[in-house]
Amino acid sequence: MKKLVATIHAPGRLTVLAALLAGLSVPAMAASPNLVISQLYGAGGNNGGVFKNDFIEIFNRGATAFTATGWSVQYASASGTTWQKSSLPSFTVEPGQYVLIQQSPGNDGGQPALPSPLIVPAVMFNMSGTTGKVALVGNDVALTGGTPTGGAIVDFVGFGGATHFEGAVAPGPTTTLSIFRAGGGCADTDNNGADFARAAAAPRTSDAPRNACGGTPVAQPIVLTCPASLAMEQGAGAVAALSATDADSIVNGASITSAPVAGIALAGFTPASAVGGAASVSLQADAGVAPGSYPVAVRFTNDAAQEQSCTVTVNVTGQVAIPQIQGAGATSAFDNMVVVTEGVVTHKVANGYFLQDAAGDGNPATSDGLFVFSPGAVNLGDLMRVRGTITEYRPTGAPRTYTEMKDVTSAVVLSSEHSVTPANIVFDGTLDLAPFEAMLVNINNGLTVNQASFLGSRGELTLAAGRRETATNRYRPGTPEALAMAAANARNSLVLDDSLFTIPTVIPYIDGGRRVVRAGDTVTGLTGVIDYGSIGGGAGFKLQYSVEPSFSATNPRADAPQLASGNIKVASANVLNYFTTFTDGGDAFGATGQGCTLGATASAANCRGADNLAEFERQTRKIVSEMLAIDADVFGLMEIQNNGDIATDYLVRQLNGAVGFPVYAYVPAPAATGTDAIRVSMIYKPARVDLVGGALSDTDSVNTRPPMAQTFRAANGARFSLVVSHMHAKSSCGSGANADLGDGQGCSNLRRTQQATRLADVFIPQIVAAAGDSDVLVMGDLNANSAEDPLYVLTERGLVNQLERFVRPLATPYTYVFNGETGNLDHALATASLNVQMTDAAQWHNNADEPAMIDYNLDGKSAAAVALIEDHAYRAADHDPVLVSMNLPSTISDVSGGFAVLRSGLVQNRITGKISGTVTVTNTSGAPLTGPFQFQFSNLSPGVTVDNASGTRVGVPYITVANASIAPGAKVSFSVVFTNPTRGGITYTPKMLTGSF
Amino acid sequence: MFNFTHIVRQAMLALALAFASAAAAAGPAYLVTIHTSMYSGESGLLDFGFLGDAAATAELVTLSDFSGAFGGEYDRAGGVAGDIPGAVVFSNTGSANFLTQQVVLGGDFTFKISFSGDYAIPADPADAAGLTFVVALFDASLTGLLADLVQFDLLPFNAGEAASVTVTANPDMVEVSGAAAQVPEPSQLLLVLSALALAGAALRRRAPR
Repeated sequence: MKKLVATIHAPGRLTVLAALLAGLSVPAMAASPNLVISQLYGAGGNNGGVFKNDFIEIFNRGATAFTATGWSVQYASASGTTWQKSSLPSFTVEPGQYVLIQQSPGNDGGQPALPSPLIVPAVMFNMSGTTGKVALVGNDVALTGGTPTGGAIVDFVGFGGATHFEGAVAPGPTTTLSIFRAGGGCADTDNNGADFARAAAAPRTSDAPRNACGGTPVAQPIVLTCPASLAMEQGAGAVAALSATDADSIVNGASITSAPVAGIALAGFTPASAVGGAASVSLQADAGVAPGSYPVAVRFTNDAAQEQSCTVTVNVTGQVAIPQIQGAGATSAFDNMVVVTEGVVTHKVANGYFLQDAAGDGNPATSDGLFVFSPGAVNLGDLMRVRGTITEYRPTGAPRTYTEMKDVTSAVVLSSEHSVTPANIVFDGTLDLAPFEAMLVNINNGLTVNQASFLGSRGELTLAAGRRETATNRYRPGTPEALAMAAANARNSLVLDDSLFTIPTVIPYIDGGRRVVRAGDTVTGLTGVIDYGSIGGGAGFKLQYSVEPSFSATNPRADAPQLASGNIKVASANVLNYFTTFTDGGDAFGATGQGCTLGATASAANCRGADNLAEFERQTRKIVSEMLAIDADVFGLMEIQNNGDIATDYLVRQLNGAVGFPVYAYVPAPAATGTDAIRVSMIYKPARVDLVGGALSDTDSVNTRPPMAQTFRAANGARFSLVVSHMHAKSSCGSGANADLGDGQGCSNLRRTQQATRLADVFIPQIVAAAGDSDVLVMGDLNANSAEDPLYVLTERGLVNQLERFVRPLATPYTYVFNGETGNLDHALATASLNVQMTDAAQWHNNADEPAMIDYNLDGKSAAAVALIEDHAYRAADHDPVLVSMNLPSTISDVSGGFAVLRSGLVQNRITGKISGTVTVTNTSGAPLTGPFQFQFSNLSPGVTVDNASGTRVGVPYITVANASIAPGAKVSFSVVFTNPTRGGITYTPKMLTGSF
Repeated sequence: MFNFTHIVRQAMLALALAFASAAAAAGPAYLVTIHTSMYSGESGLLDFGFLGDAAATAELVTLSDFSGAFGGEYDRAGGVAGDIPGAVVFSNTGSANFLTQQVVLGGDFTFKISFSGDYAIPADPADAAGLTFVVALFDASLTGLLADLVQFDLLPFNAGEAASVTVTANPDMVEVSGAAAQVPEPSQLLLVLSALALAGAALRRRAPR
């Protein structure tokens, strides 16, 4: 019984399961309309192809309309397992209607475009012309594997040599043949081989005649035949023939539905005489229609209450005055139209000339000038009649376009020796230059050079009314103040250009013996035409000057700044990629075949500095000039080759060589200097400070380059720690929050902010703990302007911005010029305890304001620019150095006055050469003196060393007198051994010091 | 290694100053006798050296009346004038001042030594520098020291203590005896004091009324 019961139950369960499955499958079937792939073509754009793009045609073989939402078409190669996906917008397919989906173009591109309407997915794929797999999928999830079935797949076609298909593989298309589903798309036996056949490619759009499957009648649409445009020469008149048919209705009406244009009308409408017949009408443009471009919408209707529209653009060519071409709008009404116009040649540039309607239209909103993009010989003052195509030229990355004429087919001189009076304008930073496009202007006010970087490479100087500070150098990003300032800056720019558009062989603007024009200098006498196009660093309005402007050196080269007095001076300097290994594989030591290390690889291509020895020697001389002029006790350096201490040591040797004796030494590298090709390093004057312990670095992965820290002790015993940081570049973009968010902070702002947070929260506390001293100075190229997030993070955590403190009250702080705006990328920040010891901070504008043409690089420059390179400190790098001074209170006391010193005579050991003697100190103060003491050999004769010194402080040897106390009148004696390799005698100034040494 | 005995002679100039003597002595003088019988038959080098801190007051050391088996000169440097057996004068001018003379050992060597100058008067009594004259015996190739012989330490006035000459002699080889009285000569110190007095008087006259 038991077994019998079991036997009875088993089929019962299966039945239940089958019923469940059937129930589940009902909605699944309902969700699958009779949409099929009805045609495929993969040779679009291929050599010999008949259309520019590949396409997939979809067809509704069912009896009801269906709206597909969130669908996709997907493609994989014949045996491929990876699917490319084109997401489809929501679309509705009526019964018997086709939908055409465009896919990628090929390389040829000379073929006709696909007919419209069609779906152009945002992401398209490039199908094989002969073999592959295509699926119509009811969702937007990429298929997986080489043989996907079921699930969301609505239809599947494997063709050519495909290894997966429905039933059997469909034939492959060719360059001229597509594959069609039989019956106009109606056949679907789930056998690709049986359902598809090749025929001449003929994509059908949703406007194509509908195809009823299974004898079910469907409502056919009105099918139009309309030209896309109607071209006409003014005065001639023109007619376009339009027609419409409907397979199951009579087309019986036509009308213009767009705004009426005088002289453009429909005429001679003839309705269809029967179902399926053609209705026709003429679109007429009268001879009097003014030149212009007129989109005319024409609607046809039928006796079944259907309608269908098309747009014919009537383009009327003719003579148009320049102010009309320019118009008052942002773009010309004649864009892409051929016109004839007249004007006087006001200026010539390398690739064309400027015409101006000498009379003008008296409307200040319309420009009277036009740039003709047509290199060729023309003469200033000629009145010319030119025929060409008006275009809205958009330079790469430009926010606006510039109306100009191109494709000039006729240029005739009508008469000569005309003159055009320049328009007098005042460029006050708020003037919109658009109404002056291509016009000859006379700027009545003086302007300030805002950037000279591109003087040598492009012949450009960026001008503005006053100097412009980067908005985020003053205001927190995103605030109304920052946005307003950025917008004002954007308006306040006009680039002075030399009409060449190439590297000038003669450097402009430096006539009269001047060797440089600096940002901050002023210029008057600006006359020329208003151009718009590419400029160094972007695109913008330009003045192509026609009269040599007049410059005043209002921001002359200054000597290194003098700081308010203190006892220690620290500076930071970006050394513009100081690499002892060159991009040509050579190095500073004469070797060849060398490389620079970046990450795990070494190659000359990783080197970022000098290309060769000649550039390197120039770089060295310029950097040495800069650093010696600054004369800091400690330097933090950015952009020095990450090759251990080799590059830093080399620079130190050059500095010392230039001085003539050893002034500087380098701080030995910390344990880790990161994997970038550049690092930060420090050098110092051993006669001014001592190193306390070794250098630290923070190798946390958030840091682009590990910041480096070193604790120093001044001659008076006071300690401070310097951190040199070179944060992530603004130009190096990440994704998400590290993309350029358009808030003025550039790319990778989050990364820099994280680096600043790490510096304040982790590294500085480590330094303070290691030094046993809270005086920390942060310097370096933080790649963030003063009000940006990284600086906000640091100042919120108690660091005090020394440039804001000392420089801002006197002048705008900046160390860099970008896009013609000044910004402070290089900083000096002090912890609270050090802040009260700071006495001054300054910047030396020896670099940012100078043209890049005089930096150490020799490549990509004209001979004229190279001839201007000098070994001075100006443009030693692209960033300006930052200097601070501090007055560190002494931690030691000089008690020399309480002692008498008696130095014995000396005895030279004739065998070893050593010289020995005895020093006796006597407490003559009358009171006990508390030790221990350091007997210091101050001003010791050059070259002499104290062999038995206990140590040195800022290079001065001392012997520790360990007595805890010396009573009044008591003597303490100790021996001294000298080495004296010189011919002179030995002497020194004795000092007795106590305190924290 | 030798055990030195110390013969401290009196400090003369400080004493002279204390008593406001009108005529300071030029400095002490001694007769030095060196016995070398323990090196009989050997050749050696007798080295005379004179050195102090460059800030020390200028001083001259005069050696004279040499006797003994002196040979030729081996080496000299710095402030040394004259040749043995004639008078030789050392000055504390250079990085090293020495005269090294070849000798045949076995017999006695004698010479007179006298000091002249103001070693006792430092420019700064709170920071004073002395001078040392030393005589030592080396082997003939100057590669080994045979004996330290005698050392004269001239220490100036300092910390309230009088100037002194300390003579340290090798008791096994050297005898040092005081020499005859010196020829008096005007002290430079007196000149200085006179000048200072005059200067002070001048300043007082120029003081504002």
